[in-house]
Amino acid sequence: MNELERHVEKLFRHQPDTPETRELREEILSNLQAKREDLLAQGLDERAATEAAKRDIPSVDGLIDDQQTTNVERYRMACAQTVWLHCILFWIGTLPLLFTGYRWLGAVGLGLSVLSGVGYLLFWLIHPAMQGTRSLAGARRRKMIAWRIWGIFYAVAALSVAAVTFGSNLWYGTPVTIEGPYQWAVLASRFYVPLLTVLIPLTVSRFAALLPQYRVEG
Amino acid sequence: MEEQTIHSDLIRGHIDAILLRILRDGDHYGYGLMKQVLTLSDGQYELKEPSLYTSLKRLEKQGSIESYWGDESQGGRRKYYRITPQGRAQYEEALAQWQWAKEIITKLLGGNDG
Repeated sequence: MNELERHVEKLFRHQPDTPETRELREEILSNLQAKREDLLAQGLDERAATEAAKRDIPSVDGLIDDQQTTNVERYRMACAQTVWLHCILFWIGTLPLLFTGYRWLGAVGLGLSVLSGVGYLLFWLIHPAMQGTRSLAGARRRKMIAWRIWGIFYAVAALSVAAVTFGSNLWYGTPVTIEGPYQWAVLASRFYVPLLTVLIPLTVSRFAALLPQYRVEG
Repeated sequence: MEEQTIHSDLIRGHIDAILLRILRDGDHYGYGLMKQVLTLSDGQYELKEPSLYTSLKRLEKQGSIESYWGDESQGGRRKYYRITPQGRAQYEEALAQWQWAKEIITKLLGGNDG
């Protein structure tokens, strides 16, 4: 794969795989190749010609129909299922905390799993037939925002834990002492608990990934 | 470069008609159209790729142009465009409108060749 092919690959990475986008992709690539050959013929070197060809098309977001006709009923069911699965994962994730001060999180995990399971079941029983349009770019944007917020949250949480745990050692210049496996477990759990919230951005990501699968042709 | 961005706003609304004019003289693929725009404007106006694809997509949807794939053996297939009778009519219409607008704007702005 040459550099232009890689560039086009990158442009289309988040686009749905439809006959329309495949055609546009092939068209853009062949035009970029023609442009590069033309610039080479004009005396530019390989590097400059490739860069110049890439520069003019930084994104294809505006070129692809963003509003997707979606089977909303099936899409929502898939989303509800995702929420349920992720609640169960959360619950499983809390099991190692059973012997720490965070054992109450296990109960929360179990509660959430049961609630979302019942919700999914109700959805499965009722599911009104529905079709509508959904924005693909909107779903990708929500995914990006969710990851950014979570990234900031975890950075702040981890730094606070580190500050509270090691702050006095730093201040007084005393060595950090962790005595035995229990101390280790307590320390690890302080960083581990906020990490469990990673399931929230993962859920939003999954919603974005599911959306193109519920496209209605026509 | 800055100067070109300001002036290109005046041209942007006419890209459809410009492409129709070029296709009237023969079929082209995307980069060929871009080259032709640059040549016809004596190197003063460069059509950007996003505007090109947006315009081609719109024209094809309207039925003013049709596309077909070439049979290049190397360097990837090229997508060619040809004008339809409806596209020719649209071009004539756009040209007439432009001439009318040009005359009036010149008068209103106090230019000399009104």
